[in-house]
Amino acid sequence: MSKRSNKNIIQEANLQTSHQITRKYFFKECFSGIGAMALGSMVGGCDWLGEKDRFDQFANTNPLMAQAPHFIGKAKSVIYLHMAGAPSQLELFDYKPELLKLDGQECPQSLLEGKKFAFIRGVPKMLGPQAIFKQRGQSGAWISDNLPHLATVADEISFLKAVQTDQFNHGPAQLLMHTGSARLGRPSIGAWATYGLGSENSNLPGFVVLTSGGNNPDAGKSVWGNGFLPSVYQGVQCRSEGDPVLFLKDPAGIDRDLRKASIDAINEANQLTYNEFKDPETIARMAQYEMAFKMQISVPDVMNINDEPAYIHEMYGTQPGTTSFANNVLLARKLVEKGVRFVQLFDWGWDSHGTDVKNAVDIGLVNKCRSIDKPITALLLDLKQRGLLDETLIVWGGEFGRTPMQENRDGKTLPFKGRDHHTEAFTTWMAGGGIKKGTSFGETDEIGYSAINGKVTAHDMQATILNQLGFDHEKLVYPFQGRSFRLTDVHGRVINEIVA
Amino acid sequence: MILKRVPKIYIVILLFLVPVLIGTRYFINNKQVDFNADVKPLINKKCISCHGGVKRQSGFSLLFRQEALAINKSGKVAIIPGDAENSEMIKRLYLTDPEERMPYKHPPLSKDEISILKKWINEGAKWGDHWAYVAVEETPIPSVGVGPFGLFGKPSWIKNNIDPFIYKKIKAEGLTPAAIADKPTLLRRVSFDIIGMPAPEAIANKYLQNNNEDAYEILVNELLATPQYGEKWAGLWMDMARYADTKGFEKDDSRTIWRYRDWLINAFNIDKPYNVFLTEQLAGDLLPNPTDAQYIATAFHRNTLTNDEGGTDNEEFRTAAVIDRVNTTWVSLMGTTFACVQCHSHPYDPFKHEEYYKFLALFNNTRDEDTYAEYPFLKEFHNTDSIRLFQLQDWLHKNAPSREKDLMRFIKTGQTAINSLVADQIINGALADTKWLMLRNKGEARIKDIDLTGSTLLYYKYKSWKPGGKWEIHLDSVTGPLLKNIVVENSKGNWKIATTNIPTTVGKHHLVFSYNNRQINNPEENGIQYDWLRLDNPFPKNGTPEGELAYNNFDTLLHSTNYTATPIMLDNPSNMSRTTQVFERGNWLVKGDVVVPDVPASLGGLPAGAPKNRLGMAMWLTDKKNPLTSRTVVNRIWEQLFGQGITETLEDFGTQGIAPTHEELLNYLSWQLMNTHQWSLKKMIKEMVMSATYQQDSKFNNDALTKDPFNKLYARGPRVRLSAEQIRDQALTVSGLLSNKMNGPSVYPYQPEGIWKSPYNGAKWILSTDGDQYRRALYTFWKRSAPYPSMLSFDGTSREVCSARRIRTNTPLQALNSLNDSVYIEAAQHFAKRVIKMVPQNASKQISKAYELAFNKTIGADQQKVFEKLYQTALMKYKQDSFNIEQITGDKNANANSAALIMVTTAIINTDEFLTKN
Amino acid sequence: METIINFIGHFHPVLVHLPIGILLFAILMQIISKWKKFDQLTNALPFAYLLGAISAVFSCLTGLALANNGDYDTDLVFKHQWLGISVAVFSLAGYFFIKKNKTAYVKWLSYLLLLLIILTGHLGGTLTHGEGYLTTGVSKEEDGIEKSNKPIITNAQEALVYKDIIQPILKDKCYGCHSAIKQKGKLRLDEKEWILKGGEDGIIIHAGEAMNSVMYKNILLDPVDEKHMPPKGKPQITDQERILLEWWINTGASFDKKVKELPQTNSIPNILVALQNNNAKKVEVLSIPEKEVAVADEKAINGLKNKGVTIVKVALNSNYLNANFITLSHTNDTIHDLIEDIKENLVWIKMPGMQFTDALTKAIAGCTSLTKLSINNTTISDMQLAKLNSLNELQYLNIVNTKITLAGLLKISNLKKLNQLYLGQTSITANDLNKIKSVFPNAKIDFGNYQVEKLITDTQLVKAPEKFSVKVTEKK
Repeated sequence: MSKRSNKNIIQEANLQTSHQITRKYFFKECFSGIGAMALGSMVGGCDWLGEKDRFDQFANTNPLMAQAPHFIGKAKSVIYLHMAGAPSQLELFDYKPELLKLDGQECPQSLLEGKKFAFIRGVPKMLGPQAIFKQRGQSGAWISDNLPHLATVADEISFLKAVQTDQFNHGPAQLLMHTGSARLGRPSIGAWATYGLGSENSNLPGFVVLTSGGNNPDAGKSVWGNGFLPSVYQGVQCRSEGDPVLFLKDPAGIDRDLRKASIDAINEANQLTYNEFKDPETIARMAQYEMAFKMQISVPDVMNINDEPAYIHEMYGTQPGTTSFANNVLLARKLVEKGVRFVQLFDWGWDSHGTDVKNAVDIGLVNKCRSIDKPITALLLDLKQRGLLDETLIVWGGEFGRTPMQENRDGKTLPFKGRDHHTEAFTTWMAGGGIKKGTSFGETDEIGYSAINGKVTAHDMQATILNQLGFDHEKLVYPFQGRSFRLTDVHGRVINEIVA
Repeated sequence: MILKRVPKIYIVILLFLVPVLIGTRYFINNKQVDFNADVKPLINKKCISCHGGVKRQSGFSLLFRQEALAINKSGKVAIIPGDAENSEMIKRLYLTDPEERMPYKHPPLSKDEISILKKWINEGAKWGDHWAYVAVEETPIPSVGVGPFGLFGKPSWIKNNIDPFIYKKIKAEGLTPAAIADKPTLLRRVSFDIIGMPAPEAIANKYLQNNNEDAYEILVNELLATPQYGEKWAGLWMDMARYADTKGFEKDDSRTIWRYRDWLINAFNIDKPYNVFLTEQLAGDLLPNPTDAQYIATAFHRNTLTNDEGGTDNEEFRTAAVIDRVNTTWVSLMGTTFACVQCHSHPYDPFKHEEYYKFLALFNNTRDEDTYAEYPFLKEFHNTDSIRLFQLQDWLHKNAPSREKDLMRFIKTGQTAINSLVADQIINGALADTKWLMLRNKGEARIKDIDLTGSTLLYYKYKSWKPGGKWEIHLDSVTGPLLKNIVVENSKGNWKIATTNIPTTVGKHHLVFSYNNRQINNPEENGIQYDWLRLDNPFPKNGTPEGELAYNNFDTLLHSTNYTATPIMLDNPSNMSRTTQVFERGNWLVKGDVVVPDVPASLGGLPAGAPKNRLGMAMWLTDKKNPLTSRTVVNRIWEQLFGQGITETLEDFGTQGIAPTHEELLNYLSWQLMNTHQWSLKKMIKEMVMSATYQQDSKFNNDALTKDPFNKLYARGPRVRLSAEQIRDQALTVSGLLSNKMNGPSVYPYQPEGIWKSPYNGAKWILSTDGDQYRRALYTFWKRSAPYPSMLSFDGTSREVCSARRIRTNTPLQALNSLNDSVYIEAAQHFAKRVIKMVPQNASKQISKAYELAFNKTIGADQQKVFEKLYQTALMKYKQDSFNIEQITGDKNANANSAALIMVTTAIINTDEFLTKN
Repeated sequence: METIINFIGHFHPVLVHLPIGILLFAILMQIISKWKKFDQLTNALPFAYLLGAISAVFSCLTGLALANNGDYDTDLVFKHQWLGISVAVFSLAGYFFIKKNKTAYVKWLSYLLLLLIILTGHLGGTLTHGEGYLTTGVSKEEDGIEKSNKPIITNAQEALVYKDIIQPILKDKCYGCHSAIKQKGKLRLDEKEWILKGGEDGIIIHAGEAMNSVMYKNILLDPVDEKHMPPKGKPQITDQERILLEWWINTGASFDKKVKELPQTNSIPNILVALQNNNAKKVEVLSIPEKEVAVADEKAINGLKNKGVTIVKVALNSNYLNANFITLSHTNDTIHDLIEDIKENLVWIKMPGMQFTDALTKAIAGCTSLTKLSINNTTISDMQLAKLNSLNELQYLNIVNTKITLAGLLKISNLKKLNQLYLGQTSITANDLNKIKSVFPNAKIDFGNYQVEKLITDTQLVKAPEKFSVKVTEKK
């Protein structure tokens, strides 16, 4: 019965909802896209630039139904590696021999006038690079010895050396990076991506979040929130220990057969309700219960790294059963392989003030680097050998950079070498997903304080990510409070210099 | 000579034809163009994005008439009333050159569209008022009648004045209204709508057994009288107030503001008139001799975020909070997206850029400064201290009436005090973690512009770590005259409040601090850390025994920690008030012209005699002439009952919002609320639920599906999924677990591990005990950075900013939640237990009982079959292994039957019928 | 008055077509009237010429009206105007000649008239549609963006700064509105003289001071600003280009110097090198077939959706489809039939781990538009792969972790478009590279099994030197 009913349900649902759509289209009410959400068919609202094509996308009860982009996208999915706390570009990618010469000297006033810092007070000292740099690969990209493995794949990467932000506190800066606004309440980029493209795999969430480093990012779950988009687009936080997704596991004392039996019963009862009320929403709910049942199998399956072959664990440096960045990176690969649209990794603990050994640029930072170096390198190579790198966009970065000056919190000299938050220039990189291989865009002055050319902002990075997925960032809009909102607000430029 | 060849007759005919043609043309087109209906939508769709409040390409804007008729950069006039042909705007629509033709880079306008614009211009290019910005007028009830000319009276379907509005449209669309729903359905529907949960058994049974006409009305009255009513509607208001139990950023520390939640519950339960309700929340502190409750009401706007992250600019986040207060006030109370006006004039609606900052100025004078302690807050003292407070007030009243107000305010709110984080020009010191002024040996700092007039006593709250600290206060500069030299007592690292006398000084001065301590050798060791300063005068009659007695009370209260604190709004005294400037392009760092507090001109100015502060604003907001306030709340109540607003976009009544489906009805109801019901929400709700429209059966007939899938005509009853709160409360109710305890600090029901992981915050979620884990959903502790999971999966909002409307979605995660969340498992277990207690034997009887408890009606044969099948399947399974029985029942000596019954109760809890308001 | 003239002017584009049509027809009649069969047409000639002449005159009048509004290239207008007038004159002349039976003149006059009409018409077209209107249509790419014929720079240092570096930028980004075709703001940038002359607001370049040069400053303006150039929505000046312009102006805005003769600050050399050749490695980007395809059968699409296949257009404006069978482990005939129904539309297919039956193979082999096929981890056999040699459009093939052998792979050697091959975890190894290269010469071939070498540092933690045993209370 159940197998059959399942089929009937979805077909019936398609019929019903497509019916709804023609209605809606007839009503010509843009906003009833929102009203219609209650009817389980709420993909896309209505783009008031008149993308009628979207309407024929409605024919499914799954709100994460795959959607066509504006134009043919080079990337089908995104893995965004966010180093929460903001890693120091000066110890990783932005090589500044001049700064070494100035090491220990007082910072010239010209760099301090009219500038705001989170912690630097008075006149700090300059701090030379705390790492050895070499040029790597054919592209000759500068990468420090803190990332020996990544150095071997330098030619796969496009560096952005002059990223700028206007937020010098972690929370707001992370929000800006991921929601396009430094204030709370906007949808995250992953939410926008799934809103635009849906999911390739109906048995998995479209937007998955994995955190490591012991803490959630400073901005809380808002960096993967749905803002004013329907809650179905929020990132689903998956954990590598315990229940991979909240409430996924059947309670003790209920096995699969019983679960199946109960879901069948629920849906048979719902069928009766439907016969009585003829409410399409009931059909939608039945489909959701079927889907939930499938997720209970597919999610643990994809979230389980135990069955990965030894050479993969070798490659990533993963240890099953723990929560680590490495494990999360491996999971990210498995997820995109299975068709998840957007995988967001947050690794906490990159703040390098020098107030403590853990956040010293020459100690704690080095250890953080070691924890990500191998997995990220493995990720690039593994995706490559699976033929997925060209359709998977990898983004790496923090929320801002670090000062060329040594932090002197409260005007004191700190016990360890550290750098304060810095908004004027920092480095992020992208790879795969139709991004140029082995290039670098933008440059900073000789001490890495400010960008001299190739400046890009969070909005530019967002515009580029959407562009790779096939979206014009100015057209991917959502009508809310009488205005069509977009991820990049009124800003954003696709960084064509790194687009292949 | 040509004429010769043409027969005269033709010329005659021609001459005759001309006027006829002209005439007919005139007569055909005499219908005037309606700006709002025909022109405005067109402009908004095609022109406004480049020629509106945001962009004014070539200086041309269509927002206001005077702007549109002005001369543009090109030197040409876009619109010449009465002369479309020569209006540049029209010409541009025809051109072929893509650079010149409008709309720029978009498909050209259709012939009809152009002709509408031409006609409109030829008719004088009149601008019309948008319906929502026109004051509410009394609206006549449409006459609907049966038979020719309604000779046979009203249709029997109609129950009250709401129905004719609805009926008229239903008929017009060729639909027929649905019959009244059956009693159990109606009972369940109206219970969820009025009290947010199933009706208490007594009330329910009384209704089901009473077959008189008035049964339903009695039910409604009784529901409105239950305390659960306040809880349900408070829950709604908490979304708009962005109520949460934490501060919001990074470590996201806790905040005690639950007293405001309780204030809401009470306000709804005593049916506080809506205008008073609003006034107290917006300006309770500015009312004459505000009560504690009125202070607490102002916490409405203290639900804004506070940023404790180190290194933050406190002014930035104070400003952010003020902006949020403005936006929230508009979106939640006046259904208008004022936020747009932050960066530029409103893209579509009649609000100017600077008007945003005039309105902001009304809010910009409060004491809160993003301090860690969230000053100012109201202290509600407990037990003995509350008596001391009473005694103190009494004594002051009798012996020092002139000081009473000020001192009581100080004791209760700690104000007026100067927060140390405003200090600048710091040497050998810092704003510790950018929260407190901290000085080291030889440290210096300045506090600007302090009015010393009439003060002879200084209170200061500080921390120090070593004896021997010397603190000097100089006037205006470190070399300036010495105001006071203070020997700082070692507080051993604890916060301490101390006082010192200061010589009388006149006028505003900078207070320049210097701190020295010989015992501190390490130049980087902290010497003293300040929280706040207060300028005052010695306690009255001190020295005298009675004075001493009173002072004793005063001093004890000053140092007491025996109170509940609630952040509140308090304005600066005149000598500390802030000036407000326009933020260029909304950037708070780029300050523009200074503005004076005021409300937007397009909605009528402040009422006569209203002060230019929050109180005046509240008076304006609750004035019957304000076109938005009543419409917004009426529309919101309607949305709660019918699943969608009369205007679907609750948050936007502007020209870009969705037009109301029943504009007259909305006006009628708004008028009713303000006049007939005197702002009583209970009366308003009652009128709505008593309508036939509301009581209809919610089944979709085929007409409905084809003609009205979204039920915009209300030819059937509302059918929507329950809210996150309702789903939880219902499960707890049917299982008999629900605790009916009200009010108090937020509680911690079961939540999975590892949800809370805020940086620098060790706080853990500790499961509440003795019934508190079974409280109604609105009492659940709300952490902004990691809200209660099932709230989120069922479309709860994260309460960071005001959300005027929840969007219902339908996802597998919701299914997983209600299937596997321990909350629902436990509910199912107790549900089953409850059934067994009532029906010890006979599975099928138990099943029908369970169904009856869930829906107040007897189970249908088919349902019975479905659940019995499940029961048998489960029974067989469990009979085979006792281990799983114990697992699912959580009871060693439970039998397979009870386990099987739990499967049934789980199923019932997950049915569409159960999750939906039918 | 002004407005009336403008108004009349707008009729020019319409009216001009009358004289062209009428006169051409007149000339045609005149020519064929030589035949006995049509000689009676000669009677119609005077009327035709007269009518043509009158309409020509009106066109001239409206034309003159139009000329005095709208920013048109003056000397183009000049030519067009007088040619137009001469058309009118000659056609009138024609009329009188015929009346006076001066057939000899008429013959020559008609040829001349023909010529004049063509010239005038062409100039008119150029005026409205812009220079090279006739040719551009030809050189356009499908994406509609005009090819900018940048000169190939082999050695940037030897290049001419204006001609080789600056002018191409201007051509790309400015000529659209500031050249012979149009002079927005009375500005032309296509000749040295014009550039130096500036526009209605005066000089645009102060040699040596980019920051004081309007031309440069307007580029820097916020894109939402009205004066920002190029205007929002037009292709923008890239950062590199901006820097080059700045450098060019700051070094004296030379029109003849070579690059090497100019001082080159910090970033300039790199950018110049970048101009020579882009050092970034090329990334294969999949294309979809050139030819358009009809809309896919909605029923088939929904059918597959119901089977759990994710199927969606590759882009909103395309009818090509992308199908992902990720949730399926095996297929059945229903599915095969459904694939059959939309075989024209499918361009990308993903079915990792699929049970590969011959029926399925047949279904896929039918999808001749297919450009990308991911069948990694499937049970596909050499024999089945061989059947896929019908996929002539195929560019990407992923057979990672399958039983496919070199022999099997060579069976589809006829697929010349194949340019990406993923062969990891198959029996095929790097040793076979040459063999494969010989059949797929320009394919990017990936044999997988990459390794990340083991380093001691991977698992080591750096410790703090002893002296820092004291921990400062960490707070941020």
